[in-house]
Amino acid sequence: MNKKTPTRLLAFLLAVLMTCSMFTFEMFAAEGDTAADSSSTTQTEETGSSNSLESIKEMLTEISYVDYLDQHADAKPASKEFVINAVDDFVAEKTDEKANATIVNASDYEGDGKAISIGESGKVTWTAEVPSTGMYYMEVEYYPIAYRATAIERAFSIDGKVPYSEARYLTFTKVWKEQYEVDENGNPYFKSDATGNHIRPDKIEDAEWRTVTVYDTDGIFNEPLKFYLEEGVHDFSFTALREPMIIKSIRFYPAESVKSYADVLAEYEAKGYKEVSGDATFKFQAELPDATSDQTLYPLSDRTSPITEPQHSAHLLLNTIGSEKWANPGQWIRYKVTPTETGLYTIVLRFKQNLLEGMFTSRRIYINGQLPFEEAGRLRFNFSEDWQVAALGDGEDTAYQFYFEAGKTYEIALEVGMGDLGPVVNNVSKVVTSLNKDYLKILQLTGAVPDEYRDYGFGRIIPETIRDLARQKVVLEEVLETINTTNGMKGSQVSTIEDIIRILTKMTSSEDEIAKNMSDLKTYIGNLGTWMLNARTQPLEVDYFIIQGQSEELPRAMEGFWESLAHEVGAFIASFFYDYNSIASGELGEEAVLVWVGSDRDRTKIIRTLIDNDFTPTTGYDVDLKLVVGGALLPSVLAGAGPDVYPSMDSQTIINYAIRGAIIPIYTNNEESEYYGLFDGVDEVMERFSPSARVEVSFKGYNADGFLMDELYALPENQSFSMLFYRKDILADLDLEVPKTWDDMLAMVPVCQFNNMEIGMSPDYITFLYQAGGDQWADEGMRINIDSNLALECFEKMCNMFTQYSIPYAYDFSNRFRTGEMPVGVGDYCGTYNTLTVFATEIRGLWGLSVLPGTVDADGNVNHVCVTGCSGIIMMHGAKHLEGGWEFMKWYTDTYFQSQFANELTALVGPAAKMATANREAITQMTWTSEELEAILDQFDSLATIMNYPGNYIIGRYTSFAFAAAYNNGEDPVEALLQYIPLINKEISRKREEFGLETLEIGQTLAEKRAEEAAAAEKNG
Amino acid sequence: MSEKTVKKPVSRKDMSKLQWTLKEMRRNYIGYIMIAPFMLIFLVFTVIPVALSMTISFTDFNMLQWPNFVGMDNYIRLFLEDDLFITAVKNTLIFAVLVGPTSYLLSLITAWFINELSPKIRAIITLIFYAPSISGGATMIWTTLFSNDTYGWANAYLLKLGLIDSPILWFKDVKYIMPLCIMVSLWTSLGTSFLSFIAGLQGINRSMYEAAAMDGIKNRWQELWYVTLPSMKPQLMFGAVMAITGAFGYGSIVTSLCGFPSTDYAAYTISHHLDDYGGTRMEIGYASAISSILFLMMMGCNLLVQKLLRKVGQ
Repeated sequence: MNKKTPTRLLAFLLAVLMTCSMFTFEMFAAEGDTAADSSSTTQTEETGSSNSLESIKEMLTEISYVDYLDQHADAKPASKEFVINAVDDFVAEKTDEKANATIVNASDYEGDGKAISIGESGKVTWTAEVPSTGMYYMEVEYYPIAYRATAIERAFSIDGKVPYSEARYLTFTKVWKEQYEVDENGNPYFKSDATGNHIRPDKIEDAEWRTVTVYDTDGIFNEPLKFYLEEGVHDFSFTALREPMIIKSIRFYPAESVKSYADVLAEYEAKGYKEVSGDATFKFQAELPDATSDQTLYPLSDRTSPITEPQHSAHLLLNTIGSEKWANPGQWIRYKVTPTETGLYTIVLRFKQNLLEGMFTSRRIYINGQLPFEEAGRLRFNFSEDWQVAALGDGEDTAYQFYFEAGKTYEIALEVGMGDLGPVVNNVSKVVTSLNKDYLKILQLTGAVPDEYRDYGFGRIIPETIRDLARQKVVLEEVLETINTTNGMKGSQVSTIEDIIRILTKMTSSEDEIAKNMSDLKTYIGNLGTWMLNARTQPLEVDYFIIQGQSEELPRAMEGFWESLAHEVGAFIASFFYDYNSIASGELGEEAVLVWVGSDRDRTKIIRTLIDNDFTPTTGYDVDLKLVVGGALLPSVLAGAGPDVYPSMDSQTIINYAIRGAIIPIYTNNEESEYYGLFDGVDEVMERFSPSARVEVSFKGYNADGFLMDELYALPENQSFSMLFYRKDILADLDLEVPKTWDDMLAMVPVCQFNNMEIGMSPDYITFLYQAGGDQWADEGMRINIDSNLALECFEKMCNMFTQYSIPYAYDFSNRFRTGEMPVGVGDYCGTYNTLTVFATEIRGLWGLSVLPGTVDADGNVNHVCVTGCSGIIMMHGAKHLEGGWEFMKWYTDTYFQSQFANELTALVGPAAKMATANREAITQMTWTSEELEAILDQFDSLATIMNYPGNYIIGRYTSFAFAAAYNNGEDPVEALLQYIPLINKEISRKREEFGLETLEIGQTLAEKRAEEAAAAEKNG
Repeated sequence: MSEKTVKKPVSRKDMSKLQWTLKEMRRNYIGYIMIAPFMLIFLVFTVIPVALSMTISFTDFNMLQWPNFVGMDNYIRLFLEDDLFITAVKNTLIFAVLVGPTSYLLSLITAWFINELSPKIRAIITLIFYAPSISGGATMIWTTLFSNDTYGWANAYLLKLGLIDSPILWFKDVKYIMPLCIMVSLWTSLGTSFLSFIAGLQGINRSMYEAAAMDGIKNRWQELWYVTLPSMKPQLMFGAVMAITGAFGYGSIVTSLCGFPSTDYAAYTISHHLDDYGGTRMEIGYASAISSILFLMMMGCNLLVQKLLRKVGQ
């Protein structure tokens, strides 16, 4: 009876749905697209969290900066400036407690006066009187406290309201400095290692007071952000998204445009400034900056040109800076120069821009923190495969002149901005957003595979959408016009836009063409998204700067043929004597810890650099790092020639090796073991990780003598888990909350299916089981526990999702998520995130990730636990350097290494190189946005793992068989599963016997066995 | 002078077999030097591993620890306790019986037909038939065709026609696994044996046919049976050996189609059993016992086929 009620309910629901679907089109015709709105769903009470429906809607409907400027088109620049004193104007009542706002003496931070220190979360508010109505720029005087390696992020609001979406993410950079060696003249230089190669110096965060006018984070706009303020008293707040900071003052000054170069030139003439003589020319190397904004902006080694300075045919010298590491808007590199003559100079640089093909990249130049003239905010560097030499100018004939005085020290900073590409990218990004919306509207009507021969009546049902397609076409045509008339842009960039214009023309010409071209439209939106993502990166590699008079000759950009030949031949000969591929950093003694890495060269090189810069200096142990192929470890163990330490081994293999004695336990409770108590600080180290990670790389169970062993074999390195991915735009459109529980998720199914959509789930009962507080194993791994009532219930629930709710079993999540067919789905948080970042560029910002839906227990608490898988770093049996190896393992899993490694990799490979480190603190130091980070940490704090007991491989096999039986043949899931239980238990017992562990008879529990043993003992004794 | 020192010619009867062999070896030492590299490689990488695997099959070797001798335990367990092994043998035999001879005949007939074409077209057609077996990932096309996804071709088409209302999990459903796997393996089986047949057909002396015509061959079938096939016996032998080893060692295609293991062990072969114990369970001793049995089965089959092939043309 119990079982039948839900089935009946479901049948009824389906019947209603089917009846409804018969009238779909009439309803559409009658009510437009309110059909989706009319279907209500269960709404959870929670609001205000970052992924509540309300906040998603608010975020999606927030006006953009361009619209904001349109709204205030008549507003004049304000007439007076005003300053908010961070201490005096601070309002404690309107400040969150978690913001941790405290008044500090600036003198403690190399400044004067008082300032206010703000934590990494919460909102801080100031009140000030605005003297006159008008447009203002905002300038913040702040001090970045050394904390993590990421930039500071704040949201800005006026009177509690974020004025436009760009103000939601304001970035304040930090200051990083290289620890150079300095020669007797005070000039910095690089140290060389034994082979003559340069060693990259350490980079440390060297904070200083910065006074910065606020620009948009994406670098789209060439002017600072404007704020329209009305006369009177207003509240101004900063909400912390990332990193703490100290703020001294916020100055609002009239938003007047910077002078143009022509005006500046006229000023020079009026003041009688003259060009300097040839003697005043001086040169400095780009790889030796005074400071940079990012830790990853460090000197590089270029070997492509013999005239890159300095260069050597045999040694690797650090000689350039930038390239793809210097590509994100807001990143800056600063130099200090002291000219010897007063007058007008040009700034010449030798640079290479070979990464953004067919486009130019842009930089802003600041002299002593000021933009000297408007054009200095959009300097252009054109594409070429080769090195180029040019004075900073308009990209054509004019080289800009700068006025410097003799003996004065100037700070010259080059900052990444989008320059003239900004408006183009901004327009395209708006088009992509609109087209996505239009596509979704059509999709809801037709499904992902429309019937070409059917008359859907688009003009009648979604006229606005069809009109918008035509509007976007016009915008794109304008963009195309801009690109065609802009210098430095090549044809290959245009075809992406031409393609989509062509398809839009077709689709708007006749209604019959809409359904036909749906899939093409999606592809082209995707291409456009990718184009945008590429255009947003602005790489530039610089060799050196020359500051000289306008009429001085430029040095040559490229070497001559003979020079090139000599260099190549020299390098060729040197290749016989130097091992460039060696990952070692010079000669290593016998005492070096032998570490094998089974990944790729890029990763290995990063590890090497970090070892040289941190591990060896701090611990004194040398490391012999070797890159090996993955399969090399097993034979090496057999041959007794294995490494001391091996990272990145998955937990299953760890236990497989460990149980066969190939791994040294770093913790054991067996006092007879030679490793008992050998490694210090294990518990302390394990605090870095989720407690669940420890379970996975350890073994706890009875051996044949009935002794309860407890051993730990690895330090967790990566821990991956699933999270819920959702499309913000679709959920807002369908009026659906992000599901908090599985029941919410199932309640979404009919709404989604009604709109030709689906939800994505994997056939995974384990999550249900652990969320309900169950366990896969019973009796310390001696028997399987999935024949318990709870587990069977969970298994049945999972099967029913696929058989009764017809959730698809096989699908490509990224693809369906991108097209919108699958607005919510469960996926691995790093893997899916990485895929979506590069693959679904057109929906950037339209999706989010949140904790896994949970199971509600009897008290109404929701359990969001996710079952994870992890990998770890191990010490091989037979290791010769136990102490050094243990130090390395600790260092390898600590926050410094894990975050550095992750960030270096992201800088090298791009935003799709996020890794799922097992170190909680390291996650916070990676380049996640605050919203993502919050969700990830939420999930990280509720993780569970299953211990890898012997024979565990058999479980997944048989449960999948049971699922297949239920899915394909409609068998009862519980019965299908139960018939495999004896087989599973048999295999477990067999496997345990192999390793000399205690076993149970089939069908016996440990308690029964103990009782029998006790009874037997009583009888005998 | 010289006439006096002429030795008495040595005859085969004058020496023992060993002496004779050594003498012959000395005489033909160049040949032995030439074959040495191959023999060395053959010994090190084929003969020794086979012998080693036979030896290991009497131990409980687990890849990481020193093996213990366990006598016939592995074999006893294999034949008396391991139900799965019986399933594996059954499936392997189904594959061997269905795929082996069919692909062999298919190769032969296709080769025969193609041989009739003009050289240029022949080259192109040969490539088309041979291509599936050289490109390792060729099974990809079948996973797309019979994808479990709604967008798999077969599913999409059946859904469109309204024959099914939810996608069929082709490679997860016991009903379809075996037939599909047999189909795919036939498709990829036109491999090396097919090429060798074409080579064999090319190498037949044309004058044989003329002679046969004079001797009273009446039709093309007789020509095939009495002239063509007997003339290419070495190639037929080679093809047969390849087909048998292929059919018995069949497994990787199933894994790439259905995953490992296939649902309910529906297409679980001996080579899967080998992987299961050698890889997943790390029981190398037991896996070696399985491989020894597989080896013996192949050997037996080869002998049988050799016997059969002797009958060709008779």
